[in-house]
Amino acid sequence: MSGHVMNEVSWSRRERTWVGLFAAAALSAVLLPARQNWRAPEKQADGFPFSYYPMFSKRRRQHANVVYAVGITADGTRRRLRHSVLGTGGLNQVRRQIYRVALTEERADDYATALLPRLLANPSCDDLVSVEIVRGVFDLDECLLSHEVVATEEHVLAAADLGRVPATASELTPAAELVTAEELIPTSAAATPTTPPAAAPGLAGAPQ
Amino acid sequence: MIGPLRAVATPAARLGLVRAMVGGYTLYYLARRRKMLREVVRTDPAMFSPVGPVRVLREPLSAPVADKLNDATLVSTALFTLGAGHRLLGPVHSALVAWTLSYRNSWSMVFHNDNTLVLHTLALGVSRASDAVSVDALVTGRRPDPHPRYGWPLTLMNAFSTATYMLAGIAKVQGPSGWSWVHGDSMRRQVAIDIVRKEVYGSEAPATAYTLYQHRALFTLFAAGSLVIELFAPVGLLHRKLGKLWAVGAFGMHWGIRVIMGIRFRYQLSGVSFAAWFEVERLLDLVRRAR
Repeated sequence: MSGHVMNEVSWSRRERTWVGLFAAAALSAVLLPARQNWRAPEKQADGFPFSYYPMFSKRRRQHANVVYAVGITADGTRRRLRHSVLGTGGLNQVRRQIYRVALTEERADDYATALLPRLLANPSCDDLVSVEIVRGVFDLDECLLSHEVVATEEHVLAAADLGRVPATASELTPAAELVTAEELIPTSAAATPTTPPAAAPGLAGAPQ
Repeated sequence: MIGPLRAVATPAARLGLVRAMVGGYTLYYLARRRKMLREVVRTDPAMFSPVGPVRVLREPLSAPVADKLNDATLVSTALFTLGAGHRLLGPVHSALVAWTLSYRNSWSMVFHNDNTLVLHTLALGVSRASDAVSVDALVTGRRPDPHPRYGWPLTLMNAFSTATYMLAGIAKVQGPSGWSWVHGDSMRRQVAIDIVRKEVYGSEAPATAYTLYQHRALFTLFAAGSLVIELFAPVGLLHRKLGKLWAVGAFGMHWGIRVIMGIRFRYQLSGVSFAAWFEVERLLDLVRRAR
């Protein structure tokens, strides 16, 4: 704004008033969500495009919970399923949806059942016989320092059978083989799956 | 009004070029996501969790209607970028962008990186941003003199930007860590949980995060730097040079986040988000001279 200052008369009072009111109202709307920081956690509410950026005020602990889906083949091999296999909208949207249904709403069974048509229609899942919705507990320091993302505990929240004879490796189409490498991630052999379907909202380090 | 908030004459070309840049970015952003948006609006209605203006809905729109609104937004974005019929289309475009991005964020996940784009579009849409560098200017043949009416939208855009960063800073120090957030442990853990999620869901995790994670002191440095940029962002509004310095710092911070965490704040990374701080009309002079 290094230009010369205009004669204020050339900017009509009406236009200036409108600009002032609009700018004040818009800036107030942007700043107002800050008050959420001082509300009780159960009363805090985020919005769009006016936000108080709650992801920055979450407590981050050494152990974190992540809810995800694991595909299981006929020989018992367990593989974490890529977000694009589970739903649309990208990793974070899929992650939030699975967390919401499986933990917050305690409907992990519904999520697993709803997932079946998607898995049956996806060539990369031709060798799967069932799917599990799992809450994994991760030691963040261990994962990052060892360069290996392995859950220290896995709790199966729900399981669903695909109800079909799986394709063998030789039966997979070339296209299926291509996506298999990308979309299926080996899960930890060290992790011990347990079956308490205990939903645990509010656990330390739970995903937002 | 004080500092850059006072009525200062600004070239119409500066505002016009910023409009074209923001519009061009929006067009690129939405056009690349057209297929994804078509899929998102067909998500299980149980996942519908409306935000922003979409809160007027209790249930999702039918998919064909949502598709048409997305496509209308693409058309309005193209016209906005060209600066055609801006007096009428500018506000309509602002409303459509706010609606489309709110609707996209109404499926259980809010993508906060879209906030600034919506706010910037609002400031541009209701202003006289097509008095230069536009089809409207070509048609009318007008060459307006510098005027405060071309400056306030840019100042408001910058105020929106600084306010959102300041809110992020407040959230950090007002959270459970308090001012100890500056030690960097929260940021370090945030990087870690983000990497774990990426690995678990099969997305590419940047190797840099693994390499840097063991260096706690670096995260103290990063945390302190980010807090300074965020909490002191409004200081940039007091003086033009400070504003430019802040914009460069924030731009660098986003590239740092990109390298370390692999998170793409696309609007900020493109630089378009910070264009309103600079005399971008000089680019037009460069082009003229190059001819």
